[in-house]
Amino acid sequence: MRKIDRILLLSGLIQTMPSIIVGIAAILKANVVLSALAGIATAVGLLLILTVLTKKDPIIACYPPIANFLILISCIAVNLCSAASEIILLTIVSFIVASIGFIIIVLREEILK
Amino acid sequence: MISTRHILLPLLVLLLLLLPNRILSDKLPIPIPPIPLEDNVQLAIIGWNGTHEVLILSTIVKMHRLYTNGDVPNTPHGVEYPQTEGGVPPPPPSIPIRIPKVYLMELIPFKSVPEAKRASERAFWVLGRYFIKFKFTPLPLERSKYKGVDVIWERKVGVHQIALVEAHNSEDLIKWATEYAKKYGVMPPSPTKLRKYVEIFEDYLERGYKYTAIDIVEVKVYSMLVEPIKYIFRSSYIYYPLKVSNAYNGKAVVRIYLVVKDELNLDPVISMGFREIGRVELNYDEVYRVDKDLANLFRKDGRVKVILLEYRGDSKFDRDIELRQPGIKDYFLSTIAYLIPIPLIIIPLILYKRGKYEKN
Repeated sequence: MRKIDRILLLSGLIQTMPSIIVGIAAILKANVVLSALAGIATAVGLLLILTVLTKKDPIIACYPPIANFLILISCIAVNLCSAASEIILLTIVSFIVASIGFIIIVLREEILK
Repeated sequence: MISTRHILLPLLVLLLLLLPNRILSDKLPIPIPPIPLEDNVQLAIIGWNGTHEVLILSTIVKMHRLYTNGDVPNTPHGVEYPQTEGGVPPPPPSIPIRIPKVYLMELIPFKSVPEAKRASERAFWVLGRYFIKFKFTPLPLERSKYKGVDVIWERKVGVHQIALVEAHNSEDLIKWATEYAKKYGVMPPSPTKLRKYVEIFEDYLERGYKYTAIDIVEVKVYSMLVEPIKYIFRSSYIYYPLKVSNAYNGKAVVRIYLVVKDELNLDPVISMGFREIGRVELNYDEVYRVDKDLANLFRKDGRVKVILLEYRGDSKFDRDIELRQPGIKDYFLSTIAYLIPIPLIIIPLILYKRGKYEKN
């Protein structure tokens, strides 16, 4: 397994696991907005994992985490969701994964060598 | 001959009539007669058990004091004269001014017939205590020039400038306090009074009270908590009237303590501009100490959640607070909202192929 695959797999796990927990909690609370955000975050995490497992293009998979983070902070900014602990957790995790994705996109030449 | 007070009184009356009077809480209070009322705080405790709601409402009204030649503020510790910034006392009072009675008219819409009861201000203090996050940032010990006095910390809390000192000598403590007061433009008491203070504090120090808090209060406004009123009514959802306050232009502060048994989706309230300040869990006895009727909404063996919500902003609300317990439809919608993005994101990206990487 190449270095980039290991990074993507790890990022996928970091993104997926908390998102699933937050998603289940959101369903139990019947919070539609939080459920949707957790669903997007879970999908992004799964996408990273599946990209590695199915040996697809790793660079393309780095864009959705950035979009996910932007969606989250936009929702907080327009008061669509509260700054509850679940949202804060999702935002922190998404920020970490989005940063990794951003670095991979910027340094793709060096990383893919 | 026309004296100064003959000119001042009509001028003051004219000023009172000209000043815009605003009251911005959401219970639609209308002040009578016109008095400058600003930055009012709306306080509410809402208890809900699924069928009944207990709504305790109050307003904090701030009246800006009007300093005139004869305006003498009465403090709980006796009559004090207002101090100017430079420490120069204003001329002695000549005309005692009485603040006129202020009446507020409140309009609150209800769906069912409510039962109105008198509530105690204590309810707000008791609940508020659970949310106080008073963090001290102790400063390094400051060496005072008076040997017997050490400053432990000094900080500003609202209109209070507080210093906590450790004193071993009563005379030094009073000298330090006098200098401290002078620093903030407060005139020191007379030597006779000072001697009396030295005696009083000597007694305290002998009894082991070595810490003294010196509090300099900036008296600019009178704040009054209007005696709360309690409404008990049947309601299948949490209800709090807000749209009614659209009648006012300007700023509003709304503080709501939500007392509920089950988890609630607060997003509708958050989207209105409310912030969740904090939440605590209380048992029956603790809720009983806040209010008897509030506690009677819940079972004696259970615990309830108290969520503190706050709104600071324009007095413009597009809807009332109406929070319902989630139904099957809401659970279904949440599940769909969670599951839909997964295939929507994964399938197109997994199907997408990029030639360059495939070659690698």
